[in-house]
Amino acid sequence: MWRLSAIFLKVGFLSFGGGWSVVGVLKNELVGNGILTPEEFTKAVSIAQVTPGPVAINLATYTGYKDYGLFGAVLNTLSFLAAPIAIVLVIFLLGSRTKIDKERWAGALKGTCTVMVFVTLLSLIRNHLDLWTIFLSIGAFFLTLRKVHPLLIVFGCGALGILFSL
Amino acid sequence: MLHRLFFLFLKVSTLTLGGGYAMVPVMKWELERAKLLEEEEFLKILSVAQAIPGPIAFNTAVLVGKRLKGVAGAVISGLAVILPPFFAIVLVAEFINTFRESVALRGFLNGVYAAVVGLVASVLYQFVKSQKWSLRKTIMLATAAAVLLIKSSLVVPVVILLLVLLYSKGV
Repeated sequence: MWRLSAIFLKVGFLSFGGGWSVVGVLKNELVGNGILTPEEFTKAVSIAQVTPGPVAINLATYTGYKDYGLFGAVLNTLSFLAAPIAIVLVIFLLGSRTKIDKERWAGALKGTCTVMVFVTLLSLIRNHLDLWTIFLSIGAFFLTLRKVHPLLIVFGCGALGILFSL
Repeated sequence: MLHRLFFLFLKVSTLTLGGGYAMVPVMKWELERAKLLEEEEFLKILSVAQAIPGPIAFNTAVLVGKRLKGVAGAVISGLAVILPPFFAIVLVAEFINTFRESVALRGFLNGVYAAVVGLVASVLYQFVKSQKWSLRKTIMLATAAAVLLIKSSLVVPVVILLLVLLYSKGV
């Protein structure tokens, strides 16, 4: 259980720019260390997406809960949030005395996030996708480009998934 | 004031499905409506929230809480954002456990997973589109991605190195 929360603590520090940049890293850590099977990971990602709240926190809570109940869920969630909490504290203490160029930092983050999201996407795709799933994914991609609301896409694809499985 | 903050963030967090980025505009709207924070101030806080690690919705809430009501405000606001998803996950996990054998549930989750792959692809597309691409930057990012794909355990050093390089070169 401590090993699990150590993973989320570490990944918390890397979680810049929205949850999707760290999902790939989480997959490597969780599936690579045998904590989740690839199928369980797929399920966890889907659950995290259809539940309110940030995807990465939801993943942390769910993984903790699945194996260790409520206590594991609390511990995991807090571990993942330790990094932002620590950094917010540092900012409060330093006040405006930091000399970081905001625009440059934003640019550097964007570049780094691009790499992380790319890694996430590849690791999501590597999960035994059948032709039908790939077809749905491509459809979902083009719908987001046309500014269809993501929730509509997520639940629409879920509904199609039900129809197809019956 | 503290309880107003708490219930405001609790409400936003409960009612917004679809991750942190969906939550931020709703937060902005609610804070302006409650006359707690002006737009300009909110955008300033948002830019800090984006520059530090952690879920954007959580960071924003904590910083807004701190700005309005000090440390107590920060703690209250942070809690209000994480409580609803926490209990939602616990409920859903129980529900899923009960219907583990259901073919329909599995179909639903597979469909959602397909949508997620599409959404992540479009997040990547937005990132790529919103940047200027010099040759040097392309090479740096491609090298980092290649290293991560070959040896994923190097993620911490690769991310730190990449951030430092990109920042110091200003690319």
